[in-house]
Amino acid sequence: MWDLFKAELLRLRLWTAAYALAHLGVLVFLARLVDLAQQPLLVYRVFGCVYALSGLLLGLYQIATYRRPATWLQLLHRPLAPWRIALALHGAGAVLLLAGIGLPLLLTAAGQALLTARVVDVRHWLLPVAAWLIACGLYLAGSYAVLGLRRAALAALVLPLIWLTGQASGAAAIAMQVLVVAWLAALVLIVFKPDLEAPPRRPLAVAALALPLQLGVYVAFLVLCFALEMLWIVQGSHPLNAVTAPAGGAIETDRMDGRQRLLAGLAASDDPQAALWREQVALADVLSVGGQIDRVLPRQALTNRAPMELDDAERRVRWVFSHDRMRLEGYRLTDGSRVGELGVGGDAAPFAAPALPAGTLPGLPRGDALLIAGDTLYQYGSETGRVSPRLRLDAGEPLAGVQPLGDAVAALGTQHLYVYDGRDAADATIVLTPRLRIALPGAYGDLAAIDLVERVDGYLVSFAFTAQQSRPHGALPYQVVLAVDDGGRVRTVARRTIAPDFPALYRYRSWWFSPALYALRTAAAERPAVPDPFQATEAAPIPRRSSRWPSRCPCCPCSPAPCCCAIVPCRRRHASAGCSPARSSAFRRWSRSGCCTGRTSGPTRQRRRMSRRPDRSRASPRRCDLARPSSPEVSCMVSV
Amino acid sequence: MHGVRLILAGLLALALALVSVAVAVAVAVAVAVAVAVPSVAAATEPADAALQAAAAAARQRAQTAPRPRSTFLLRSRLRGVALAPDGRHVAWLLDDGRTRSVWAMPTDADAPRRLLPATDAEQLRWTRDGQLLLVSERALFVLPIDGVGRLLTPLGGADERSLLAVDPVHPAAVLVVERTQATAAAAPRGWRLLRVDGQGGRTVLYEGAQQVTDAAFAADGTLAYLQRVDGERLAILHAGTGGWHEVAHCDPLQRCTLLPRVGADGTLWMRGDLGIDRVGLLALSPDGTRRVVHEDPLDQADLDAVALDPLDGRPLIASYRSVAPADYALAAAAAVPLAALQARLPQRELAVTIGAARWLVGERASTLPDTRWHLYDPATGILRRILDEAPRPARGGAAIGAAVPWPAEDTLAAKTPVAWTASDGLRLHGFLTLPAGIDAARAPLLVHPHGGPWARSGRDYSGFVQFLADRGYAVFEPNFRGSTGHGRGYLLAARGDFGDGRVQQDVVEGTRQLLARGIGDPARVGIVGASFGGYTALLGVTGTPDLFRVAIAGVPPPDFGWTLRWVARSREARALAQYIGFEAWLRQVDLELADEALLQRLSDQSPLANAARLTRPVLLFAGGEDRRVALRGVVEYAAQLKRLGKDVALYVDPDAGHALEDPVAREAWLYLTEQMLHRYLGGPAPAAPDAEVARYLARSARIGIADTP
Repeated sequence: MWDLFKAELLRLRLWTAAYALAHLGVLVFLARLVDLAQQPLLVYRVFGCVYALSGLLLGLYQIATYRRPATWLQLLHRPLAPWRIALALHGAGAVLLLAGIGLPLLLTAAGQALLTARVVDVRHWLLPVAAWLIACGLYLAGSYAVLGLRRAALAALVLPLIWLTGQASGAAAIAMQVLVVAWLAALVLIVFKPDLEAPPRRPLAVAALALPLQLGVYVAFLVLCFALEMLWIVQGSHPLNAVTAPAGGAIETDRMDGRQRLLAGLAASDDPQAALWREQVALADVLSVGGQIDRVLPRQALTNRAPMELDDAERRVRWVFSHDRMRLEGYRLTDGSRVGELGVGGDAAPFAAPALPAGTLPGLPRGDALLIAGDTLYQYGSETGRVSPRLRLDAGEPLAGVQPLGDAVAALGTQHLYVYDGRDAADATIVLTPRLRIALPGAYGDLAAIDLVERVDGYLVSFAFTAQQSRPHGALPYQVVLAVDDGGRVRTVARRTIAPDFPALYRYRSWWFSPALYALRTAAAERPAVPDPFQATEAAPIPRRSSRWPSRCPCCPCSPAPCCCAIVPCRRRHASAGCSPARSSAFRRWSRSGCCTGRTSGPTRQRRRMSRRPDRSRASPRRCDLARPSSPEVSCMVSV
Repeated sequence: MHGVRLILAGLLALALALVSVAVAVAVAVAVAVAVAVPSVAAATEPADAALQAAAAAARQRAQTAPRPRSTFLLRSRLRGVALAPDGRHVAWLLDDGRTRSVWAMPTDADAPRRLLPATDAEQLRWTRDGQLLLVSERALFVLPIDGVGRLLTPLGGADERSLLAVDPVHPAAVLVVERTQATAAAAPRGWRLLRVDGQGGRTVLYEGAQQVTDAAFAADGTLAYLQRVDGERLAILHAGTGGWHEVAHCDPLQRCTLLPRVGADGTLWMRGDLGIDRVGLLALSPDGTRRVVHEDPLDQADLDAVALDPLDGRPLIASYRSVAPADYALAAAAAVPLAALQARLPQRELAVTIGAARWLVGERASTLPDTRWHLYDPATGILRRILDEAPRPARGGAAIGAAVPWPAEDTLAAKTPVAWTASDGLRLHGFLTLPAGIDAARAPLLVHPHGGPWARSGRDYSGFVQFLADRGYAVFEPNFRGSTGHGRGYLLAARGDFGDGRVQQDVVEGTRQLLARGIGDPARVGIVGASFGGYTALLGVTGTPDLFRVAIAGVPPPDFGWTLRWVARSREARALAQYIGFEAWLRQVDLELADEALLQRLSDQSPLANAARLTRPVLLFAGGEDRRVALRGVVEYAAQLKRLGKDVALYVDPDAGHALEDPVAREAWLYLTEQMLHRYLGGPAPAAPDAEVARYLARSARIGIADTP
């Protein structure tokens, strides 16, 4: 086994050495230009994709050379157990990947730590490990694709997709990578046998293969949906690229400017002052409030959403947040020499949470900057060289952003919108206390826009919750308009139900195809991660039947079927009992409305029956009321 | 027969009807006259003769054709004209709209020289040894006349460093105030007074917990007196043998400005109103006794300026300007030259800077659109005009070859001081500007209350007033109670009654009395103002529609109490609070923001709450970057009016602040004012705006503006 391992290393040593040198050269070159430890997420993703591709190509190439029947027999015709041969080959592959990918990264990190004043944290030392695991995962997936059953060959490629959808960070992300690599290794070992065409027989092996296979079918379905959607877009009637967004829908709401959104919200208000407010909104400058942070940032997260650094242009110093020290570490922009460390207050206490730069506010001295760390906003003072807390939200509520709001200052948390007096904002010695605290009338993850108009006695605030209209885990779109008076009293003056632009079939496509796999996927993505208040949503219940339609057949109260299409069997069942649904006024009304489309959300048995005998004379989706914006809950698609 | 009786009965009925209508009309006219012209002892006003003389003089002046609006928007190129203490050089900033350069010339020759091609300096000062100081927002530079400039000290920043004064004793030094660093994390930061010499060397003269606001020095350069914040008042301390001890204090709203040098006997001179109503020149002894050196002999005006001896800092000339310009010599050495100067420049406001060799004299008047600068030799009495610069064009910066002349002085209307007695007996002041060639009694009258309200209308040139007079309107600028410049009693007489109350009555009564004296056509009275003046305009047109036919209000707070509270919560409050907090300052003028009853009263009387009562047309303007008057207030008021179907026009300049700086915006304001007055007071129709102004109007129109051109 050892000889085979060494032979494999020797066989690919030149390619690996060339790759490692090129990789190191690129990293060193980039490190001369930028701080590789402080890049935005996109850069890390690009690097990850390159490593994944490298691993995949290695796996395909290395194992493909043994895949021909004669070579395969020769390989396995050794006095070694197949698993030991597999271990030797793949162990060599893993070592080659370590040399080509992990080592240059490690050297770059070491060079940055030893030769520069840049920040290198534990999380940065974990990056070579993560990169190597990514490459190994795709390497094993490539190996399995070559060796595995033809129909299941691509199943292994599905498992690394968990890394893309997963929200784990830091050590948990590494653990997820290890788990997937181990699973892929198990798949390779299962398939690494003389008869490559024989399916696995042991239950554990079957189970190990079955899950990725099912996931593969699930992903293939989603890809098919995506392809169909592309066709829909090309065809030109997709709500997102239609010239005119569907009236009364979420896309139309998203495309509105703040003034139009407020007016649309107020149109649904029966408040006595609504007419005045409409005039006022038409005349006033509409302000918008948004967040600067969209995800919680756990300590020692492997990557950054954005660079965790701020530049003091006055002193020509760059301050970089260190997860190890939980403080800012500075170096001069002129010569790169270390300046020192900056904590909170005079005693340089560590930050309570990783801090991200948050721009500045009007009135702050030049060179000063703001930082958001968890629930607290800090101000970096250029002249004083200090960081001082400026505001802290209630009960640990994460702070999403801070911005000027007319002459006041607004802070957006995940549960409240806070308004502070602008008078104190420019004084770094004052910790701001909110004048107004407005509870968000929905979940932060559903929130798409906050628009606001200043009134003499407070504010008129619109919250549009349309962010998750096409995803199953969020709220159905709606809008709330609040009137907030100067004393902090909040009154809901309008609540507008916004029609979804997509049918429920589309919205719940990832669920209805396989609720179990949907649940598995969701759990795999969310369970290892730190709960993220920025992603919290108020999921609408998955519609099991159309809520617009009565829960009972209007002409056949004995039937549990809600849809008028159940009338047909109902009529048959009850004709002998003297029930004459055809004469029922309710039935006539339903018939005239065109809702009897031959579709049903009723029991499965009825659905099967209807699918065998579609009533084409009635099945006219265009006539269906479902497109009416006033009836958003209705969904033909659910009942297909 | 029956028909004849019917005809007779009909004629009788008709006659009775006619008689009754005639009686009704007569009664109505009588009532209207009684309302319009109250019996407020108008005929007994002592100033009537002067007023009638001014009206007659205006009537005699030749009427000119309306000039272009841009004529009244010209601005001076000169800024910060300053005379060296030795009187041998004068320096100035020349701003052509694009760059600002530093210039200087010797006083004995007409040879101006550019010292710096570009600077961001706002002011110029001279050190005692004749070096020029360039003061900008962020730094203080020293620039020798024949040398290279260098940074003396940065200003502003976290230390809030500011220039207090040029050192009155040391040759090349300035006095700077800055904050100290906190010694502990929670300890408050203190203040220190520094002397910064010409090489940037710093000497701490005083350090303490309170903010230093002023200082005076003995002849040997030691710090003799210090003024610092002490709670909500200012304390004046003397450096005695046992350390600092308080010799006087200034309560809030009292004016106390120390002159920089003390007398040989240790006397401190100060401009203030300690123990007196109007600001005068006071002398304060080290033991705390004080005496009034000079105050307005006419008992009308605050002391405006004091010219000092360049050598020993003695006050030589006291100037008063709130009503009529008056300058008084305080020392025999200045009496003769001053008298000669006044003979040369009669009835002018004189801004005198005394140098050892020459005096620099700024000549101002309501008919002079720019200050005229002269060099005056006190020994020979020779007065030489200098710096006769053409104006900066209203638009387009420095366009070479496109120099537009200032309007000739004899074509502009002079301001005449007027006074009236309010119904509660308080004597009030204001100014009247009459159009040329028109009978004052038939001229449409525009009331133009000033903003603030803690400010005043002065006698100086106003392009806006001249523009209105050019269009044939008589302009009345009332200095209602609460205005500055006439003593503390005048300032405090408002007693917080800034709603539709005492202050508003001053404006209304002043207007009615002018009408009663034959100034203005009672059927054509309008009111126009900005900021508090706009608020007054809205109150006037809402509460007294029988008097005011139209209101034009720029950046008006529709609810004064709410606006004050809004400002108190904004960053502007910090800018407005000089030594004490904005809210503490408001308390001194009887506006307690925590007094809900007061704010409710102001709110109840506000134009916003009384929008339904408005029956006259209103033009509103608001600025999107206004930090004194909230845009939202104006918008809400306009929305109210629009919803109620009132005659309202609104335009909003999203880039404008509380004052209009952009020349296009200023011209648009003139155009809309002219058009509004043409429509409702019958003035001349405005010339159509040019393309740039039209674009501006189209961009900023919100209600009822689009159809104006």
